[in-house]
Amino acid sequence: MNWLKKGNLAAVAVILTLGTLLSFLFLDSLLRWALVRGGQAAAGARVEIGSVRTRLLEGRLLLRHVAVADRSEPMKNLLEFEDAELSFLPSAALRGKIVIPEATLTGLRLGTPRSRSGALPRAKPSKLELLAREQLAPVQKALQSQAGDLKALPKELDVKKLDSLRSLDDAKARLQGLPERYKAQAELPKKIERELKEIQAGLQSLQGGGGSPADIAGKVRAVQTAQQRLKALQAEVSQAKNDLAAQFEDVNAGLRKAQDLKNKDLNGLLAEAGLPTLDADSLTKRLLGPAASKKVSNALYWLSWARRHSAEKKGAQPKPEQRRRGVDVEFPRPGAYPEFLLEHAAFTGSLSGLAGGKDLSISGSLTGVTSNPPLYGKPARLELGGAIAGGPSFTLKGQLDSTKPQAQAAITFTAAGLPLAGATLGDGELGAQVQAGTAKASGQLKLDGERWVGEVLATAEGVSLEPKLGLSGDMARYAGSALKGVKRFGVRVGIEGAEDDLRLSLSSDLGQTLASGLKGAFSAAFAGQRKQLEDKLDALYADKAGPLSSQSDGLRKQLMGPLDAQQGALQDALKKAASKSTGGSPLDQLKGLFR
Amino acid sequence: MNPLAILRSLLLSLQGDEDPRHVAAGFALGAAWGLVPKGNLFSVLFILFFFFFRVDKGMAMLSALFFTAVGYLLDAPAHAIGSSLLHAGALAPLWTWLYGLPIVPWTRFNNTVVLGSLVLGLLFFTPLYFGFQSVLLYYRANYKEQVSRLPFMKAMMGLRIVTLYLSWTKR
Repeated sequence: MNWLKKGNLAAVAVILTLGTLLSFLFLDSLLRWALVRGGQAAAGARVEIGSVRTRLLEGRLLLRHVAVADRSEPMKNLLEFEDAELSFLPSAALRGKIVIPEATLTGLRLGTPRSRSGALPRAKPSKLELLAREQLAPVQKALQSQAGDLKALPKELDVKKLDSLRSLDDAKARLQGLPERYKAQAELPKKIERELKEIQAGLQSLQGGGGSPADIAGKVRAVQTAQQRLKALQAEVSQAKNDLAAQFEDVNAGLRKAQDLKNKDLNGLLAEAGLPTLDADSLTKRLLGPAASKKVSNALYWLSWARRHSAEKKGAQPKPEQRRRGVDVEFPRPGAYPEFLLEHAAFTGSLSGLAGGKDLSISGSLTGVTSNPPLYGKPARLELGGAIAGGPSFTLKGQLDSTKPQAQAAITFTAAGLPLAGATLGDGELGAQVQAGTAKASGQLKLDGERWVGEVLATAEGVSLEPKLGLSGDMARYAGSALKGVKRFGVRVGIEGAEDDLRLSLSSDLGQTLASGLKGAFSAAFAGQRKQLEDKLDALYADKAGPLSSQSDGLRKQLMGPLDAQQGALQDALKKAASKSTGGSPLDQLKGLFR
Repeated sequence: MNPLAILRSLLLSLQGDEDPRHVAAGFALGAAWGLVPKGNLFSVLFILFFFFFRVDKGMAMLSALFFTAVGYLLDAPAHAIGSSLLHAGALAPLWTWLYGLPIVPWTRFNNTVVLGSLVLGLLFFTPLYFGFQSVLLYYRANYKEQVSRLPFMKAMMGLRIVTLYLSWTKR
């Protein structure tokens, strides 16, 4: 029986030729489809590309009218540009790699409005976005107090319902478990003491002995060995201290979280009793939270995306993010190109209508974007900026260094003279439209390994607010008056923690101003009731938090004390050993050593 | 291939006189094709196999449809197998050599799931081939006549559209 069908050879040749011809003819359309699909997967929002033209043999790709929608504000574009000209290496493309030595983007515009929504069907917010929304823009509660609905304040608080106390219990459990977890290392101080004595005795014994060259060489070797042992012990003590400090930091983080939750508990109790919270933090979040959470979640989404896609893959065996996707493992020869590399991209564009209708020209560059930073060996860098003399200006600088296993990133930006007119604050019940004013802002965000730390500071000056209120009676009067009185305000957004446990904070004097203004709308009786509730909660909290804090401090001293002392002793011993090995210490010691 | 053609292929494969080895080879090769994720050069190679070798294409198509679904279930083991092979130090020179060749990286052999699924498909090939051949021979020997007398089969084979289609394909 013959398994091979020779007659089909011609048919296959024709099909392959036709297939190749069709692919060549429709390459631009196929590429456009693939770029849109890939772009949408990355941006989590619609991507539109007007046209794609490929010149395979020249290694050039031209894109026209590209728009990437903003996932957090679907009626706006995150960015759009008129033209992009990319040069690529055909030889690398033949090996399934995308290497772009040079790219030029012109007509870049940021935050332009869209005629149709850029939201993708079935797109879900990422974990980071939910986190930003939850922490910066919590669910709004009706502010309008209706005396008729005022319920009696609870005489006793149900401790089981208070999240802050539960968080304290968790922190306490972690603190109580700490000595148990430390048990494995409990013998460490004794071991170090023992070894330290041995080493010191050994060093002491070197004072005697012969003075022949062989004896001297032996002594030098012994001192070197002692130094090595001391350094190893020092490393062990440092490691133990770091581990212990991390565990105490965990407990302290629990205490800080409990403090935040206490305010939430109070607000919840006030809401249950029908009293408005008038808490400055809540009012800040209500006025500025939605806008801040959109900006922050967008920034975090892209930073996380960039970090994920530039993480080192070889050696690590991460789980695939989606079914059937798998993980690509690269096998480059030294000096070979990574699977993706954008060596240098330059862009120019404008931000429209920033200074009395004038456009602000912007320009910048992006370098070293790659799928395999350790292979490429250089960090990715972004620089963007623009200014009008006497008008608005901004600069943005970012660097993501994933060339080492512990990724490091730093982003800084400054902006000044940004017009605020037209911006809205808050919601339908409690909000305002900004009629005039400018803002200056600065921010920095750093990533060290898994940990993000950063803050954004913004100040609005020359502000004029037009209140937009859905309140009635005194509340509307007092809120309107408070908002109209605002001439300047500051905002701070804080970011801290690992990606899966990120803590975001938002504070502003705007909330305080509004809270002070609104307090006048309530009678002394309401204020008294609020105070009663606050006192009760404070008492319950203090009963738990106070002892826990002192217990934590005591345990820290108890466990860290010996390690601190030993670290000092080891340092002294190392200095002595060093002086013996170099002979740099007093001459009489040298005489004693090499007698 | 339309659903009618698939049904016709299945009926002919089971009830017809086609060599059981070709049907079994189509089934096993279709299984391997189904397991491997699509969108790479391996898929094209499989299609070329069907053209060059005398295998039952209808059965291959059915088998590929079924094993594409199975592939989702075998995703985790495929990833584990692919990952262990790609990270095996002894094989690194081979992967590095293949990775540096033109065209070869388009097979995406360096993807954990692609390589793992291909290995699974190749491992399953022999047992599936012999297993399916035995089942088919047993079926044809014991049930073929009874099944062909079923009213459903008569109706199916007698449908004007089917006979037209069959006569057209026999031309």
